[in-house]
Amino acid sequence: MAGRILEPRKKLYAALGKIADKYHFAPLTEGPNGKLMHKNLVLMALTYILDKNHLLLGEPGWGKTTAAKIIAAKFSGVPYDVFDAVEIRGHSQKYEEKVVGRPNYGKLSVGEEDVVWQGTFGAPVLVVDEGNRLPFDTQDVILQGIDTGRWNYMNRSLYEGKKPTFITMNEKTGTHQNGFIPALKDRFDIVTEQGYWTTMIVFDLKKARANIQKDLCDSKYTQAALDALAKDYPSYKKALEERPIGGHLIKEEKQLINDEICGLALDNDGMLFLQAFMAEVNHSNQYGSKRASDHISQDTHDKNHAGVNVRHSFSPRSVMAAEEYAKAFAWFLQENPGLDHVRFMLPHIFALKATVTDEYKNLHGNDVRKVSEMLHLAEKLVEEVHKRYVESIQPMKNFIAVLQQWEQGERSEIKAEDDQSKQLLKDLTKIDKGEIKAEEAPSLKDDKHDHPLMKDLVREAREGDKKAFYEED
Amino acid sequence: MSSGMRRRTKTTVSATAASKKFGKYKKEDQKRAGKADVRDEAVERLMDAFRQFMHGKAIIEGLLEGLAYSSKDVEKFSLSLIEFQEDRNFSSKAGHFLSSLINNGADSDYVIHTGHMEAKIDLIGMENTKNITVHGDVGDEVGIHMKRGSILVEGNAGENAGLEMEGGSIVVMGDALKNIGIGMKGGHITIKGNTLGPIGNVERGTIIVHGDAIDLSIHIEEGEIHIEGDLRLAQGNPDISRIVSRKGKIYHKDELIAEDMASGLAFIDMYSGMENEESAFQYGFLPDDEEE
Repeated sequence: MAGRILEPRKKLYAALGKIADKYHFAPLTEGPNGKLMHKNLVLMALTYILDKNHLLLGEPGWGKTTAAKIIAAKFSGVPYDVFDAVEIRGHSQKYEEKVVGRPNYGKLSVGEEDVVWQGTFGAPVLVVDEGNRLPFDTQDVILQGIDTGRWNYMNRSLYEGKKPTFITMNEKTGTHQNGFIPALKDRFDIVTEQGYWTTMIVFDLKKARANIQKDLCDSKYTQAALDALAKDYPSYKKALEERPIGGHLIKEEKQLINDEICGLALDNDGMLFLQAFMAEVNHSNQYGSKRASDHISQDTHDKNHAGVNVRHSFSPRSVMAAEEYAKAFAWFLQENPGLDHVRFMLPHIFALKATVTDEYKNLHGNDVRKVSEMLHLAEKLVEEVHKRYVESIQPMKNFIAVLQQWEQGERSEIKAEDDQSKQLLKDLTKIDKGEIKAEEAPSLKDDKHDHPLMKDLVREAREGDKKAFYEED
Repeated sequence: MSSGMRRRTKTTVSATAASKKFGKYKKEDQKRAGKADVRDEAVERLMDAFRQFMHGKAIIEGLLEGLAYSSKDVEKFSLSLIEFQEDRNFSSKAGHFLSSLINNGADSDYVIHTGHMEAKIDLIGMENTKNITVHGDVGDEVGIHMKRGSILVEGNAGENAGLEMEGGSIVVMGDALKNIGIGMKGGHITIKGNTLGPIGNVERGTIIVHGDAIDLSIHIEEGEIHIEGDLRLAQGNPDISRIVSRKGKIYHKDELIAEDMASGLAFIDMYSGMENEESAFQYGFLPDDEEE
């Protein structure tokens, strides 16, 4: 029977629906605008599409690795048992040779250097189980691979390209936990948690496992692929070209989705809210910017903003991840990307990296929550920044509006709605007439403003066309 | 300076710079400061309904019939209320409308923003059955006739908080004005800051004031009132009305200071310096034998 050809988004919907129904039960959560979805599965699907790095957090036995391999199989078309065979399993003896490659001993014995590559990064999705248990040296190796798509061993280098990566981590309990090296931790684009949500599915789990075996596994294919890997790496890659699992996204469909997502743009509120979050976390009146090595600022102005509650900065890498996931999420929902999508994603982007202060943890120590403490505190941070955003954003938008109109020559039409805009208009007129310099304009002094985003906007307006000396004509 | 070098004479906010740096934003329109641009279709429908209600053109029940909205829409709607804050009867109308939206909504948790407005909204949480968080202050009668659920006010509250409430909890993170829990029939009220003026008449329920109670009088039939801060009289005024507790208990810094009329009377003596009979007369204390 000929299969239906579905538009890629519908294919995605169909795949997610099937996963939630047959292979991996997940709770329904309300997204922005009230749409119900299996949030964790959706975020994992977006990770697959965007080729990002996703940390799956949770107690042992809650299906983190299973979920990763189901997503990998269903979306890539490569059977589940291939991922089973080639996944990296974290333990203290997992050295570089067991993860990346080893010398070809046969050739070495006759004086010829060659590398036998491991199969993990040849698969379309990388799965690392209990990544925090890997030795630090091995984490360094994985870091380079998942960051650049290039894997090095001895003097050989293999480029596989950036692939979606799922790394699982059990909650910190007991011993044998290395924890992640900071550089690898920083490469995680998103974190989600899996845990208890209902007992009602518990007697269906065996059936789900059987469904995985029946629909998503192919032992002959897997054996052939592993045999090919034992022979040589190119044969292994060739064996993986066929994609027998139905309903997967072909390469062109994945590319089309990415193109559509790239073509979307955050609206002004989405952009400004993301900037506001970044500004609140990173700006420090006392120290200039947020650094983990500095003490928490005691400056009165800093105490009003999110940065005083976290130890680490919100990097451009994280901002880009937030923007991409927000756009992808909006694409998924068939909506225009905006503030709500950014707000939805930010806790998952920032939770792992924030490292909140003990004071902030204590402040929310008695909160009733449904997620891990890390995610809950990130949600609280985002909520607080949002609250300040809605209360203070209109003057910033008015500031932008005045500048936009001024520079587009619509000067007689500018209608200043607040005192700040009126002052700005006065100052622009004086600057234009040469009566004052931009640095002297009261409305363009950033120390007159409290919110760090407003300081940014004012600074940008004031700097005008300043350039480095080597940029001048 | 060599002839090859160009001297820069003045700094301007040039077209090039602004269009580069602010051109990345879509065109912004000037709006009255505080008027948040967070609307969409659902919120516009709520705005239309509220306009009709404000102008007395329809009753709330009729306006909300068939209207589909989420808690997020209610949150955005609360931001848009700034447009109306200078209108007549805004405070009570807005509170009434918001309360109806919440009680009739499908969701259980709601967030309302009031911090961006100068006007205070009264009647928030009227007949409440849900969980409400208010980012900002509230006006008078927050939680009036509340049945269950919770209201968290992150700012200050006006007068008559918890008026005739029957259940649920109200928490005010800031201060509250007079008549907390007046006519309260059940539930809990917590004021993290100070309270100014009388507490009660409380028929039943629990009130906790973490801060100071200023210009105090208390009237409680059953239940408990806890004052953890100082009790302060209005300056120069020894007349603190009365502290009346019939079956209820009043605690000050964890010490039981009144649990029946007699001890309440003694408490008044302590503050007013008057003799027992004198104070009873002064404050119109009902003698025991006149009770039912």
